[in-house]
Amino acid sequence: MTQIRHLAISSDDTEKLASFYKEVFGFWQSRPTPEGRRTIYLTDGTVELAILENTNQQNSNGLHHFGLQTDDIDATINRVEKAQPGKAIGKPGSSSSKDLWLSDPSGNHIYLSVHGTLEYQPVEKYANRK
Amino acid sequence: MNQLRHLAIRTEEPEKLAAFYIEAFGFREVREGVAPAKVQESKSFHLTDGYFELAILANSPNQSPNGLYHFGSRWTTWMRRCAGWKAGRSASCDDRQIRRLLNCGCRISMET
Repeated sequence: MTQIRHLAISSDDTEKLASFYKEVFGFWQSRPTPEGRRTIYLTDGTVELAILENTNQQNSNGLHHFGLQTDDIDATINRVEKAQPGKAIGKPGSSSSKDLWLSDPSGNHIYLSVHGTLEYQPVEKYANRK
Repeated sequence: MNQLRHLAIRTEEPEKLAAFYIEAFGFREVREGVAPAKVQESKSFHLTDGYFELAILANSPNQSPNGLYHFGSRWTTWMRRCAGWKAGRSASCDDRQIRRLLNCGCRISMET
């Protein structure tokens, strides 16, 4: 089973954009911002919305990628390769690595993960929020 | 409560891309439609993983760049929150204003 559980947006003002989604849509922080970074991770409780720092304009601002959570990454990889003959995709580097990046036939970036992105320890302040 | 439930992709080959998501990830088709543009032969596909909808929109006339196009939220109290967020600036809150507020330029579709 594979499900969409993550959307990522690039922004050159992550704090402003995160405030918008928190105040207007009621999303809350799903995990702490990594030290030294400005990326902010929000959630509606089921799907994560990552607001990626784009300070140096390395990408266009806007939708950047989405993430799929799967319960069988090897089977999913096999199906992706079968659906895109001749296009090899990177496989997880070790048994503990259960995620990878791939592209669909139109070139959209997909983050494929077994664990998903919401199994990080939530920020304590929001841990019990429903 | 607002929930992310929809992602739309524009492509010139909606059938091919829909087939990929069905075959590779097991998504299933919930409905198909005709693009709102004049090009009637272009079909759009609406797939789901059981919770989240993935819309694959035909982009034959190249109305906008191919790729990730917008995402959607199911909402109940959005207008109230929106009005609160904009308090002191404007009593009304329409889609264009929201887009301007989003300096990333993302489009958000809303449904109840």
